[in-house]
Amino acid sequence: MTEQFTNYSLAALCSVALHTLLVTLLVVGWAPENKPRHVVKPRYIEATLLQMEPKAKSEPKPAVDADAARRRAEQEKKAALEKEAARKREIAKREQAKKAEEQKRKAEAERKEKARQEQLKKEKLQKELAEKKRLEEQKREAERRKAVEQDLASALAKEEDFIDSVSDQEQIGSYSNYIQERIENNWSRPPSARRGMEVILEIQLVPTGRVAGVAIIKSSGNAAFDRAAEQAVYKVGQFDQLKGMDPALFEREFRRFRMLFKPEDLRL
Amino acid sequence: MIRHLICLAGLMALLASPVLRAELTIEINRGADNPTRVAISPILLRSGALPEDVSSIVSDDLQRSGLFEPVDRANMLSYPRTVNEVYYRDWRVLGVEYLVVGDAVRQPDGRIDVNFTLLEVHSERKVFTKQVQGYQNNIRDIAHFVSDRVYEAVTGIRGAFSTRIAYVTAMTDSSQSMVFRLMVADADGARERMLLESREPIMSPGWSPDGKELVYVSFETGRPAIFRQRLSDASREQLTNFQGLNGAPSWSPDGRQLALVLSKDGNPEIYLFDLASKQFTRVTRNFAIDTEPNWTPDGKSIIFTSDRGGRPQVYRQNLASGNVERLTFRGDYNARPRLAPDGRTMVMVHADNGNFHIATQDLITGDLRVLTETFLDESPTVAPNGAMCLYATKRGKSGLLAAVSLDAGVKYFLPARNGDVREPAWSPFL
Repeated sequence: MTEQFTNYSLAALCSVALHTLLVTLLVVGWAPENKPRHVVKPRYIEATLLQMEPKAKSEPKPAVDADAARRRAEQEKKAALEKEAARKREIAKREQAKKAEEQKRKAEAERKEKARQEQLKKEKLQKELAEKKRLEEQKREAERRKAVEQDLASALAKEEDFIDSVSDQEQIGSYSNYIQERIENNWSRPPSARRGMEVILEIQLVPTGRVAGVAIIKSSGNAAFDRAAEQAVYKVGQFDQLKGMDPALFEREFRRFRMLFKPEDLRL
Repeated sequence: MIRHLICLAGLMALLASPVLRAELTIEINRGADNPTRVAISPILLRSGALPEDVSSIVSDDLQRSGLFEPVDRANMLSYPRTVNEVYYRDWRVLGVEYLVVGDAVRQPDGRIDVNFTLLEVHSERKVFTKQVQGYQNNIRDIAHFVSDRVYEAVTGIRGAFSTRIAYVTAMTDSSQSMVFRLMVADADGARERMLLESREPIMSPGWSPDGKELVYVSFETGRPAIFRQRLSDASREQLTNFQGLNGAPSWSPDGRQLALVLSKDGNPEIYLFDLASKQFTRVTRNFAIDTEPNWTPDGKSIIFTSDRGGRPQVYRQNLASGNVERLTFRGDYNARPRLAPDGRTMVMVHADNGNFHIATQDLITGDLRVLTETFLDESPTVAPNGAMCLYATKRGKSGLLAAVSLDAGVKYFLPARNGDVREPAWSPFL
């Protein structure tokens, strides 16, 4: 018992893990299904490309004289201011870029999240659909089986009768073939026999298969032909294989039956 | 109230009666066609003995037809003479289907009365009882009469055991010269008697439709001439004496004319000869040889052999319209046609690759069937009941007569004689 348990423990564990995963997935995937579907519009960031001032432009020119020096100083001041402004601008720009970057990342994350959820939703939907389909299939199958069973049950009596009659027909057929063969092997047609002649005999048998009586029901008009047919039956005398026949079948079909003699293999 | 009761009773009866259903009917379309097993119990005189054994003759007759298988007398368990003496079980154990019992009584005037009965063994039924009368010297006629009646009852076809055959024998006498004889015998070859003897050839015997006369060709005058001769008194008359060929006479079914071959106008042609007016009417008009005429049973046409197509083949000419049609197309030689009484089955000499055999051709379906396997078969002639064909064949150096049923089921030779036997002609019913 314990051995068995240990043997199955790994499989059981795996099963539990898989189920847990499945449940988790289902739970995770369940929420958005119930939430109103809000569409997150993607935020597009209009990022303007800033032309960076060439550095060479802000390079101070060396002053040659005082004025020049002053100009140079002024220029330097100006340059410094400009530089400061540029720096500030630069920072602002960087900040802006950073912000844009952040926004972009955020959007990206959001998009990813959305895609993931979408994916999950889809998977879940698919799974659900499959499940639904499976259930439906099962239901249908059950219904079908039930219907068939019902049919079978309702038709059983009929079916049994039918099967009985089929096997009856088969038996009659095979006994008839046997009788036919025995008679054909013993039928010597007179030379006056012609194609188109027909004589119908009524044969009476007893359950042992012995011929008890032969009577002409419909004559061919040719006495020799009629007699030859009768002789064929008398010559057989005993249909041995009829001994094993079901008595009810014998009474119904073979106690008294007819034979039509109608040659088809004659030249004339 | 009573009416209601009657209605109710009727309804009950209706319900109780088995449901109407098609009775089982087994259809038999083929047969084995084996000979019928028959037994002829000895037909004997109450006192004294008959000069011939009637039962053996009947047994032989039936056996030769190929349609019967007579039981050997030695195997019989009893010899009943009358129906009352028959124990059917004795015959059933032998597998006998039909039994003939008979009784012969000699009357004070020497006449012999034979009563005979045909019995069906299985159903223990009498088919018929008949009587036939004869004398000491024609016991064979009595026997053939019995055979004919039994044969007809079982086969549905008239028996031809009481008919005769005519044929020509040729042999050398003690002085080593040829002797030709025109002979007549019973259909089984027995009771042979001579009608004509000649040092010159005798050919082509044929019967008158009443079976009382023969026509034949004899060379006794130095050239072929056609004669007719009565069987009763052997009186004869010469009918033709033309230059050239005078041959192959064939009596018309109405007995008034002969079809024959004359070459008086150049080449062999077929003519009709009116026996009353002695007038000739030319039938064929052809550069080729036209010979061996034979009448169709209705007397309206002549079938004959002609080589107008290059090789001998069989043609039919309607006498009223003169229309000619070729009948044979298979094989490179078809000649000497004779028609069975049904007018449909033609027997002839058929050769393919030089082997001459007797063949039948169905004139409606055109089916050709070679009947014989003997050597150099010729001169076929059909029994008046259309069951058998007699022909001449060769065994060793001598010719003899053989018989074959038209379905080729049975073949036998007639008792061999000294010398050659040729040109058989089977009589009509007598």
